[in-house]
Amino acid sequence: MKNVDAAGHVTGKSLYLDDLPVIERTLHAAVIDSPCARGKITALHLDESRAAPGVVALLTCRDIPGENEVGGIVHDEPLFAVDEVDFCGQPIALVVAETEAQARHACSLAKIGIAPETPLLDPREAIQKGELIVPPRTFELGDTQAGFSSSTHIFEGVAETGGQEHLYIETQGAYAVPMESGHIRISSSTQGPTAVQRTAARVLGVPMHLIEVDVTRLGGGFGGKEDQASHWAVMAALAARKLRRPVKLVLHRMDDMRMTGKRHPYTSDFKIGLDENYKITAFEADYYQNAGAAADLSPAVLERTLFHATNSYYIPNFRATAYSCRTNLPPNTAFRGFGGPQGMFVIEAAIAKAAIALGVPAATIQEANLINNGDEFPYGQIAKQANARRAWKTADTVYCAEKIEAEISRYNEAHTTTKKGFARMPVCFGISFTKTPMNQARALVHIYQDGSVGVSTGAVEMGQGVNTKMVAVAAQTLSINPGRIKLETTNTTRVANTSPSAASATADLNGKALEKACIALKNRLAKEFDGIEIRNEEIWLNGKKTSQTWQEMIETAYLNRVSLSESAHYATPLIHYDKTKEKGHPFAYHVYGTALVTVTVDCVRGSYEFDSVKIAHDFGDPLCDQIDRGQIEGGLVQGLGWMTMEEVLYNPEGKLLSNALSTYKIPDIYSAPKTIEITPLEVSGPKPAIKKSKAVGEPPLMYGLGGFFAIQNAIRAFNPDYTPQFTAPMTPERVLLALYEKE
Amino acid sequence: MEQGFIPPYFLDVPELLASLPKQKSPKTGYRGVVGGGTDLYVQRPEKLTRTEVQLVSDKVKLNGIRIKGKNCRIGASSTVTDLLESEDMNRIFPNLKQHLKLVSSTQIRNMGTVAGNLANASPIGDLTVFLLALNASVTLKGKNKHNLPLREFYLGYKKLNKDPDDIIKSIEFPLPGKATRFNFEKVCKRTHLDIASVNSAIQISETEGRIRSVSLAAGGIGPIPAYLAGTCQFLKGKKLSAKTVKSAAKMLTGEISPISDARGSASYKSLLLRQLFFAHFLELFPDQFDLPDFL
Amino acid sequence: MHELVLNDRIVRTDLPSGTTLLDFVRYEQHLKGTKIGCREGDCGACTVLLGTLCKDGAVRYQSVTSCISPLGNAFGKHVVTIDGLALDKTLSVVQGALVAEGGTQCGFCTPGFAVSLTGYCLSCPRPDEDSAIASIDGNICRCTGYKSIERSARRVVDAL
Repeated sequence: MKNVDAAGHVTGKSLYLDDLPVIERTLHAAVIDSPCARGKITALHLDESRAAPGVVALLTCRDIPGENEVGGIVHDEPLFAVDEVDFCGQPIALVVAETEAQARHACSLAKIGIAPETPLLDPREAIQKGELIVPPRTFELGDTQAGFSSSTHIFEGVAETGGQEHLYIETQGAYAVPMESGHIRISSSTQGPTAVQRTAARVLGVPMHLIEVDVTRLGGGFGGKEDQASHWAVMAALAARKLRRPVKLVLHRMDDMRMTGKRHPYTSDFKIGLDENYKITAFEADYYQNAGAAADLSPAVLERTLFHATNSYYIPNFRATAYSCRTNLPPNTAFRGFGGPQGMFVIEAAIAKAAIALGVPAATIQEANLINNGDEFPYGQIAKQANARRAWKTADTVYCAEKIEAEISRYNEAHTTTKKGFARMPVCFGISFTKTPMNQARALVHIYQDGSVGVSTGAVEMGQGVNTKMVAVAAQTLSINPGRIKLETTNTTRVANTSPSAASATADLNGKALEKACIALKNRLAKEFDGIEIRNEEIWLNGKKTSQTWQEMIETAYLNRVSLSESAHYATPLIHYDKTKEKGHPFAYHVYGTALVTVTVDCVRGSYEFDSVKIAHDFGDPLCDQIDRGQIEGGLVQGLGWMTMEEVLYNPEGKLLSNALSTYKIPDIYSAPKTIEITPLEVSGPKPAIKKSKAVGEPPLMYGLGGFFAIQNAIRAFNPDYTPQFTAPMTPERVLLALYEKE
Repeated sequence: MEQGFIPPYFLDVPELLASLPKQKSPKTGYRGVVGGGTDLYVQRPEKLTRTEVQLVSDKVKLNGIRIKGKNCRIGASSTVTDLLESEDMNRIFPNLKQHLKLVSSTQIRNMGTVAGNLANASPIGDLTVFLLALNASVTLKGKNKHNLPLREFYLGYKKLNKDPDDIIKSIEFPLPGKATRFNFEKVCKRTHLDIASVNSAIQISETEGRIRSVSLAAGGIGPIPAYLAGTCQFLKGKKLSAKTVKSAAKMLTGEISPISDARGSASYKSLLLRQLFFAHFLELFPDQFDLPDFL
Repeated sequence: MHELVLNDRIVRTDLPSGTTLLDFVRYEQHLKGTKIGCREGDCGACTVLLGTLCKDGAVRYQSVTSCISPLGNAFGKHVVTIDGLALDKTLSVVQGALVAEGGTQCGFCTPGFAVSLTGYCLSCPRPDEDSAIASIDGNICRCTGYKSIERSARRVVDAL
């Protein structure tokens, strides 16, 4: 199956928000945001901005006709600050001018008076002050007290992971165009068109049907455009409505980095107990999530941390509590993995700590505890088609893991200025939105009377290849040429009430709905034409090929007044979750895999290179092999970036220091591992997976966690005095200081 | 031209270009000159984008890399790519490609001028540190033409020893002697396309086991790219041994004043400079030294 | 008034020389293939080729990040954007290689990569994998993890 978007990309013809033709009379907007992380607004000197050349309007919270509220799960986030500011970068006002340059210039003239207060930046401090976004959540299984009593070894420690900037290469933006009768059409670079629609309706005080949201594609999303695209779209819509002119708002990179939230940093305490066979007899953890100033998706991210606290392992006695702590940082948001990677880091850190103390490879503990069919996850779901052991064994045998380990040992004995490190990273990731009501989707299919087909779903294409997968589903189900199928933009007037493209579930949910629609059409045509079958666009009747073409058959159906359109709905069956008991069956299935990570550390300079990452991955039957492999390679490198060079830095006043591409570094071509090998597990996917093709967006990111532990093992090979710390990212600074740490 | 690499109109381009009238430079609204723009457009785009600017990248008199007697002369507007493509530079510095690979990216190396890097006065300027270790000097043109050692060009953080209207015309450095070795080191959060946490360059000559001359420069460890005179003074004439290197490394810490910032903590930068100092000797005298010798 | 050759034709402009080449291309010439990623020269999404007529009559091409390049440095020169690399009925060798190897996902960085690699094809005397990769060392991708792009570069080298 060829990627349907690739030709457009390589010719520069693919359209992103800022490429859309600009309509006459379009105004350009820019945001005035808070320079201070916390305080009361004492004065807003905006007259100079208002009077600046080209400025048409300046909007604040007082210009909001509906509710000044953009929060989703919790209604705690204003669009524009009212009397106080809660984070550096919080929007205060919107300048609208004839040109972008004029709008930006006008912003620079604004003077915001703030009586500053000491910002709260540390989640552990926040919880002491009672600053929680939602009440804590606890998952429990068995009896940890009894478990620890019967443990031969017990280890405790702290594990910390930092934030991560999405760094979609296309920044946030929206373009709102007023149509007739209060209808506003918003082109938005969003993963969640319905979220934009709903939020805009709320802020403008109009019914949802007056807001149309359209998305062609995103230049990257990664979760950063799941909820946080809404702010800019709503601002543009607000201005468009008030001024009755089209309004475009596109963020410059530094504004985007300053004003938007990122992956949640976590600081966690762990306690792990093992028996003499290295089986984990008990595990406890407390996770302190740095949520930022408003809820955004924090409660859902928090929940997924708990859902992935045991990663690929079965732990019979388990207790973990997660706290969502309110701080004076931009509200943190979804990011590929959605709290899962942060939780997994803690259990892997606990295992690493135990392994180092016990003088065994971490793999010994990892392998002893891999989850098997029939084992219970702490949240009550029973593991089915658990491929954890299969993935582990496949990686072990296909890549000769023992040989790799032996070679690394020999290398380290022979070399003094460089050392190699090795780590295995098993991954188990649950597929479905943890909030059961979100696991639904719809699709709309039109077969035009000339035989061409138009498909609409709620899926937003952001590089994950969902467009291609939807075309594949429709083509396979209808048994027609993919070239006959056009994937429409994602538009709220064509498919309503959609969940955002997130949770790796987009292809499953939308694909299943699309499949249903196509099957209904196929059945309807079969019924109309005496049981015809369509095989690769050929019309077959009673096992014999007819001379009729697809186009002729469709034209006849149209003339026979048979409906050639179908919309279908899909809701993931069998999933359920009870938050009062914290038990249920929230995931349609899990995705498994194991990565073997090898790194070489330059012990003179503290820099490092990943030699190889070899992965055994649970694809199911991929709809498009190249796309899925691309997700693995891309997710892995993004995960490695999170664990190594990507560091979100704030100063003590809560101001973002890593605020540009010159200070926040993501992997470049030389940072990627020298080789990435991927071996599929060759097990078909389960029923809830579209065409047995398993979800693939998020799981590979977590292979990147292996990078941290591989580097740590290299440091250990150089410096016997090194006391392992489990604080990510493992930057060259941390590496160098660790290499030369004295006892 | 090519088979399926580029469209056919490329064949017409040389003629089209030749037909264009000579481009005039109108009066500028920005004080100062613009080379490639790779620093200026990052730091102060709003001052440049709506005005005419005085461009110097293409000025013939400011380009060219030539050997003039015992010196090498680099035209102010030479780009890093020009350095990489210069036969003379590659002959003088056999590891030039490896060193300059650490400097920005292909595109920026095509655009950024050597003079621009010096005039930007970043405390971590790669070319500045490189040239300081070569005992380079700059020739300025303005009210008067004059020449001063690069070591004297920086008075403080982003404060240049020149009149505001002076521009750099060329950079010269004495050709290294036969027994002279040169090394450049740079460590950042990301190895390529990143600004250094600390960088360092050394030019050193050794005969019969003794250090005859040494120039050592480092960036990221103070407000200006620094020439480490004290350490150089200490090393000159001493026996080239692990003991010497270790002692010199101790001296280094006394000459630097790094601050903690987005590129690293002060203690990291001190340690890193020490390590890069060791790296110089490990790279330049690989048969003589191994890392454990210095620890 | 100043002149330059933009893709296949001479264009005239009275925009000041300090305008960024990127804004000129996107907003004055309305060629939207070149993308804005950072306006700092750090991502390469805005890469265009700048061709200078040399004394020997040949045009020498170099890749530049147009976001931090003054328009004035393009006067009298040939500016090539992704929009100007379209072949009539097929994809160019570079474009085809990126498609074949899946070297593009969201596509936003892709024009920059395609332009840089095409610039490499026009200017490298002895093609090999290392120098091909070096030609895209200033192009950042967030989606692919680069291996598919490396494979695309290898294909281009094979074709050269």
